[in-house]
Amino acid sequence: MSPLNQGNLRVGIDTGGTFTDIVMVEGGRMLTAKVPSCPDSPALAVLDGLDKTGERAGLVCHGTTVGTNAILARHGGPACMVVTKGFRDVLEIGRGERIDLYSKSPSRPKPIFPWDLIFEIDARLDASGNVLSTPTIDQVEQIAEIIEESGSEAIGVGLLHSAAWPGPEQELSGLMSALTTLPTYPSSELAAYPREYERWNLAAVAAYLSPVLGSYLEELADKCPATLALMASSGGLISSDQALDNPALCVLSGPAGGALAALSLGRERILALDMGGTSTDVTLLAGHLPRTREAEIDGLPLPLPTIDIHTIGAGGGSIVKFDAGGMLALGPESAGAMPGPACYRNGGPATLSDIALLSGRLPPSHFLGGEMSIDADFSMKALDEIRPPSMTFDELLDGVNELAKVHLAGALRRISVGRGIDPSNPKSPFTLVPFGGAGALYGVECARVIGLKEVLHPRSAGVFSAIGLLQAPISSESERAILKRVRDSLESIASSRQELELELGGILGSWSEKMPVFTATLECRYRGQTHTLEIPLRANAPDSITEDFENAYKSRYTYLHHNAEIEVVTIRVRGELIPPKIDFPDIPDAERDMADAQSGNVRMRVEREWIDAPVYLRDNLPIESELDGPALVVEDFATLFLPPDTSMHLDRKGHAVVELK
Amino acid sequence: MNSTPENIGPYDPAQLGIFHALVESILDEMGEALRHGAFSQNIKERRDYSCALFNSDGDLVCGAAHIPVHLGSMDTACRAAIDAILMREGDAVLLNDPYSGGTHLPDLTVILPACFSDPNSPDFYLGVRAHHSDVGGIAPGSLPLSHSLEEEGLVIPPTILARDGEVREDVIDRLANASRQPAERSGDLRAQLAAGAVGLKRLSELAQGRGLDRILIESRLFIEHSANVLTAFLSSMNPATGKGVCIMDDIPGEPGASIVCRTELKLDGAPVLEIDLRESSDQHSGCLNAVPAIVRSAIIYSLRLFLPPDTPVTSGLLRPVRIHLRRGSVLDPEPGAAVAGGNVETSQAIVEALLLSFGGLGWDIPAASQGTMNNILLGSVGMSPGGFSFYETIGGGAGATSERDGASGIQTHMTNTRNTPIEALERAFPLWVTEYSLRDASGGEGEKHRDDELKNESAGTYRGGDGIIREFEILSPTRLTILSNHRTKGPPGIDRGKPVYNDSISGKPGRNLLIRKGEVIELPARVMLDLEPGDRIRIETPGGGGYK
Repeated sequence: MSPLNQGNLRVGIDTGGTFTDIVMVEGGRMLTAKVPSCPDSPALAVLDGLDKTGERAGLVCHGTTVGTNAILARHGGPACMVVTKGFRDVLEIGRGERIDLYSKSPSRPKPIFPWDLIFEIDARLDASGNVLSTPTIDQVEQIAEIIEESGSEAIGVGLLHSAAWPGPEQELSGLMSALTTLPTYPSSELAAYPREYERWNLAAVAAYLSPVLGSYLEELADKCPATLALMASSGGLISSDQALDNPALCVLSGPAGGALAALSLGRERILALDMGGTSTDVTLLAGHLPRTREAEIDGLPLPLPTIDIHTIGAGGGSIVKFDAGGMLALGPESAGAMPGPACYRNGGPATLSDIALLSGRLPPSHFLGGEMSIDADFSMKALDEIRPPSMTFDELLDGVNELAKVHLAGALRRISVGRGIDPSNPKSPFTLVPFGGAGALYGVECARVIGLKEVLHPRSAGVFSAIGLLQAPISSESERAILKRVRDSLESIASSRQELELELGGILGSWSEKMPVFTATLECRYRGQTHTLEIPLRANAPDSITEDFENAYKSRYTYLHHNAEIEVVTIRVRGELIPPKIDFPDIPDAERDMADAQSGNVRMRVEREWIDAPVYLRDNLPIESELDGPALVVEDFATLFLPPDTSMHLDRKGHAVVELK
Repeated sequence: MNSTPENIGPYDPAQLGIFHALVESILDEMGEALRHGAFSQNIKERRDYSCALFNSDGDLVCGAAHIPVHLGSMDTACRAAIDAILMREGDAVLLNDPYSGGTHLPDLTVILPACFSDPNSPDFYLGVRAHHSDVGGIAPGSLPLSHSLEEEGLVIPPTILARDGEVREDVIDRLANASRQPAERSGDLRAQLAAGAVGLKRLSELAQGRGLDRILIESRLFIEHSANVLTAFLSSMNPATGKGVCIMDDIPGEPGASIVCRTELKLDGAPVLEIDLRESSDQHSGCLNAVPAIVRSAIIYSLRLFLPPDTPVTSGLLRPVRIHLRRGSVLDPEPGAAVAGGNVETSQAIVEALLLSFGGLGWDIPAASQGTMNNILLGSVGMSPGGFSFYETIGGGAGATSERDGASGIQTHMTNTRNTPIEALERAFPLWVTEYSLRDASGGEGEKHRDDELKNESAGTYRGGDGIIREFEILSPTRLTILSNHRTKGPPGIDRGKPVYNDSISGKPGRNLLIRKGEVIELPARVMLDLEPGDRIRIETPGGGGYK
């Protein structure tokens, strides 16, 4: 039976730092739950959450942080790496630049493997694929023996020029695998990316995560009767087998759920703003998931097609401080979960959350559903310690609130205006979708700064990512290098496309008998450039490829190189099995009354003045109710701040739609 | 809303932080536009470029975190453009003349006026500097062992590159024709213009949204702010004098140069830091001369190391500083003197001498880092079109500090360019890289390599970082240029606050080796040489000094 049968109930389970969120839709109702995450044994929280679904789950769509955490804490492995002789230190030297420009002790990101777990082998090609040296079988056996002695459970393999000429690397991997019976990760199978450091790092990450991810998935498979699908960094779900084939796919999958959920809100153009404790992720969505190959984790590059998310170090826990010259700064240092902001009463520093609390934007009684007690007196004390004598308390609140807005609006501008898209253009307006614990505290004001007219604060913003998992396609993608001028490339494009569709059809066939939806994209550039632009393959004709590339180039870089030829670098095909559309149930209307929804007033700091504004309980607001800013709309895990000159209405699905006047 | 300039007191720290965030995002975006639009490995892979904002006097208001040697010297370029040309809306000025706003010829700077109130009177200027991989001259890569400026390539005094929005194709053609890679030059220069256009657009949005008057005041306050941060630091130190020296390597037939720095911190009244470099060598007969703009950028960089992490780099960092140079010396040469190595090598030597002199003031200095950029240039012999030019700098050991070991294989001090991926390099050039590794035990105090017990037994003793080994095999007739330093003496370590040049505490000196038909020939620190297919060039970069 194929796992995607209509009758099979989908459950979304998203593991976060503090909570594991569970969502399912059944019988016209949406069920959501939160259980505490279990950092030492994350599978326990997942199984705990699954219990709450009453064992009815057919397909568990899971976003996991197991890979991310193993990299951040460097507790992956045991594993090792084999590379071309003479280049063991490539993984440590990286691209050679230091992180901080001005530092007495400059540093680089910590490499995945120490030098003594990287082995060199006589296997070298030149750039044209000619073999310069090839290892003897003795040498391979010798290395295999050392690897076995090292206790490694997986091997990454990186040879020079393998992106263009994968043969020898894959042959060597096969041999190593046969000799050691360990899984091997040849860099060229993970990404056809022609820069050795970035591609080898991907192989190192894959091998390093293989044992950790393997035992995690094994534990889940043992105890969970449902089929498991994992969220990948590209924004699609993959099987456990696919994840074990390339464990690096699961490393940057965290923000994918939120982006997918935002895509399903019925708006064509969206700026998603996911603001958490330590950082904020922003994404531009214009009908599809935008992707990049310049993703990083902990300073290490992961050149896989990854949802193009711009992250800035500003979140609720960002520390407020003044530098030696007395200039105000917010972050990037964060108070983290421990000690947390000053208001947590654990001796933490003054943070943005403290400012929001004292500005009246964060009602203490509703903070994290009232489960966490916070104390504004501690915020006040912490702020008084850093406040310069020349500044009044109110000025400090105003300044930090504005600085937060500037940082967030700057990030939103960077991914829109910075890429040639004007989000305030009335002919193609964007909607801001804030989520995460702090997104809606500043979201509406940010929307105003960048000229938007609409903000949509989704229902259940606290479990938004898990909702996205329910709507993710099962997907698989693959690419081929083309490296030809546009007019010489048509045959290769056509034949590669056919091959790739066949290959992906095979992989996706194990999920469902249904025919996958294929989309093909081309990566193009001017001959001589390195950086490529991805364009959809509309028609396999030179004119349309040239036109699409030039349009994309001009909108991004404002000019064209008229004398340069355009080159097709790769074709990538993505196959997707789109899940049956989930019809999110309307919220139950019965017994909702505006009078119950009102919960007194709060004194808040708005536009450099103190005003009294009403507080509303979102769960009690009647459907289609309307209210005007200034106001606070609170629910368990998120608060929406409505500044003056806005109005909000609650739609049938429970989303708060804010109009900016 | 509080948006009128009257309301911005000189101490409104919140608004200044906001201004900083806004300007920095503009400069970052310019850098991204340049990198993505460029054609040469040097810009797109190595990111050898910088973007900056200047006020109407040409003072540096803000630079994106790009390349230190660019940032501190670009204000000189802006002022030279202002002095030479009456700029108006739609203009762009190009220059590289070291005696008129430049530093060395491959660094091409484009200055664009931003006119918001009056099309004939700029309110701000934007600068985009990029290192072009060849602008002509006697050796590919245009950083030769020259004896005069004209041997180094095309000299461009401040020149109108665009007027009223129209690009002057003849200027682009002149540059392209002077270069060994005409198409690449033209593409890279256009990418610089495009980055400028992006910046102008964003800056004009900022002027409209935030108010021109307001950002004019804020840019002034911002410069004052960084001066205040430095003043606060200086006031917290004791008055003292210090001396630092860095002696650059001699080569056969050509002496090196010594950089001698006497520093005095005076605290009667407002603090003043006197930096006297007049005892440095006379003007260099070779290419090690550094124009004063480079001295300024080395001073800004070195001071910035002692300031808190968020301190902006502006012209204000020179306000409490008095610099004394001697005309006709290696740090203030007469026009026409060769300068190819001044920006890339002498700049590192100035930092070494400056930091040692700061040590004399009692400041907590790091041990010397590799003290060179290890510039290597490989290119086809002759000027025939279709030839190649490859340029890169190679990282090395960073000096240890009073708290930590130095990092290995890293770009230090005045540069922070990336390496060229070996795969990209071998696709683009007739070269093979035969080794790229860390140089074992080359850091000061380094008996053992990469052992977990790197630190010595005695507390407070830290090891310098290791250098790099980068070896190339030559596949077609090629002209080589190397500009490097610390080939005879290693970078000094620090023992109880004093510099030490001995085998155990100082970093190992670097080596430049030619391997020809099995024979290993040691090359001097600076060399220009024609190579044959099969030759190998092996660069071993210096380790960083240790700290005791």
